[in-house]
Amino acid sequence: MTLTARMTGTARACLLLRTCLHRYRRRTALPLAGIACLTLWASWPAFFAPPPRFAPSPLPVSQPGKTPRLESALVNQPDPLRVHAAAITALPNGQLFAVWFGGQREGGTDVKIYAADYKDGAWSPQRVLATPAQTMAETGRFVRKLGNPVAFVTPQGELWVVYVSVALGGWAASQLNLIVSPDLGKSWQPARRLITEPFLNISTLVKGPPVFFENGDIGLPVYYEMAGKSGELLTLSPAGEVRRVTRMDHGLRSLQPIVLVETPARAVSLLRDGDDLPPHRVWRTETTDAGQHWSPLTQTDLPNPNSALSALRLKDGGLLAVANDVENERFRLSLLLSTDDGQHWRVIHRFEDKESFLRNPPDRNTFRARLSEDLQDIGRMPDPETVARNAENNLCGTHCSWQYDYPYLIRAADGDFHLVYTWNRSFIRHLRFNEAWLEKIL
Amino acid sequence: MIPVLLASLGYGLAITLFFSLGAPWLRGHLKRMTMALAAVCALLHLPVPGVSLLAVLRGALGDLSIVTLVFLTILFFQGPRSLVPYPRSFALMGLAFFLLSFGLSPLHLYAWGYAPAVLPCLTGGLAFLLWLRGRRAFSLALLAALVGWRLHWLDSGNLWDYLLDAPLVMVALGRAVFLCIARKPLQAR
Repeated sequence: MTLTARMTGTARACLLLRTCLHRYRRRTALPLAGIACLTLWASWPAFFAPPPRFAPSPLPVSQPGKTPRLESALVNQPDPLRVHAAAITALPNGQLFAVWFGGQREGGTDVKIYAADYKDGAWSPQRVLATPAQTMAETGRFVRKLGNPVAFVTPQGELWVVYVSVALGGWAASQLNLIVSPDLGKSWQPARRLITEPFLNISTLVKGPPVFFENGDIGLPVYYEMAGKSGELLTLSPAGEVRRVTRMDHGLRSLQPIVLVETPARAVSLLRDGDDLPPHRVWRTETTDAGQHWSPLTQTDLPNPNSALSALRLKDGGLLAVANDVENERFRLSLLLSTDDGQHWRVIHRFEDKESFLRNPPDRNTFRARLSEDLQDIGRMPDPETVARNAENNLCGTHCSWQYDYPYLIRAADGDFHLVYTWNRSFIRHLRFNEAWLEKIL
Repeated sequence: MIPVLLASLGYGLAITLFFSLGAPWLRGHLKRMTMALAAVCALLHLPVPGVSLLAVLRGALGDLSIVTLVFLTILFFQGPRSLVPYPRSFALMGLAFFLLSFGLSPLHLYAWGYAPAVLPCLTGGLAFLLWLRGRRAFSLALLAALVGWRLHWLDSGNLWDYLLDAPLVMVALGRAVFLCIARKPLQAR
């Protein structure tokens, strides 16, 4: 055997490198050393990055002896005609802050991001938080329309709103923007664009509430829906820079993840079903390394009509969800409980239910009659006639339909639960309930 | 501020070079080309109607990568030649990368571009090899991308956005197709 044949692969590589270096030594040794140093400098921080760890939210404890309470109100004014995709967050000062988008129609160029504050048991008048023109001016990038917003308070005490914008095309070409308020909504810094995708930075949307990491990073559940549909966990630094992204799945079946943290390493994610093929069920995945890897998706027993859901973790380990628990329509919105980490669910309450109209869509007269009954339970709202007129305009063609969707559920520091959702495409409904009410219906 | 300046320069160079293809009086004259570049950059910021062309380009196409910027700068100073070295390999790699990012495959290469050391080391290694092979411009472009990424010159924190962009891959693809078509008559002879 020759010497070369007996050499190991490593020795051969070293010999090759030595030959190359010898050949080029005189003219290139210095530049090559420079390249090596520069590479080392560029990659240096990555060698020392600690593995991420979730910071499980402290679970609020309700005061014992409270009487069961379920309150309802409409958050927004009748103008604009259509609203959707509300999100709510509890502020450290005890108030609530809600955001949603509204315009003459979803995807219209007149759509703006609106906000309102909940203080002393009532919602303030809505105000405009972002417009396409304002976003365009502040990001320096063309924007044609706006979409889903999500609001939350960071561990540093800043109020952030992340919202979707589109320059060209439909929702699949969405991009994310971030606005930050250092004083809980009194003033806002200019919007900035988050760069999250390689191809023209398109197709990242947001819907679910964030999770937090021990180092102060923010994990934002987002989703991708251009060629494929999949949930992602986008990690942002406290300064709003994208640090990391991990996909929960690939293919065409799941979107709009909700991440429920259990321990610093473990979390469960529930995802909206985006699959064309039945059975239509909520998807589930879990991570045991703080979101760096996700298990293959499995179907839960919770039906899902390709519609967003919301969920949170209770102090006994159970999961509480609000979802449209039907396969094809959004006429029902239910409160559900799971005691096996999201695999099986049971309905504990129906907030909205129009199943009786499923095979028999109401005409305008029937619709009006039923709507006026509903309005009696709606609580604080604008002029009831205007509310009814908007709902009729949005839901009635030849026949009428009902729609209750895009729930967003949180729990405030005082232990009360707050749910906002789109009520008949026309209003954002806010439901507030306490643990005593929850225990009563369990 | 730096991302806006780089975007302005990048799109300014691209538009100036594109127009110079049909303007022999401009091509090869550095002084005229520089004046044209300044004019194009100024026009890019002009808000007509209400929105500047730069905002439209950044909104629709995003920012150009640092590698593209280096290539465009070299072209600007050295006159017309192929923008992308190794166009076939470049186009293939770029297409594969973008297709993998569309979410249909479990491999998500774009995620590598954030903090892990693998991609910066691979980029440095490639720059090293290209330098040894005499492809110094390409090597410098990759190194500039590494420096830009570390210093956060663009809005993105992902190294891929400093190395690749869709317009560059499209140009490489166009060049690769052109080379394939141009070679066929030679083979037929």
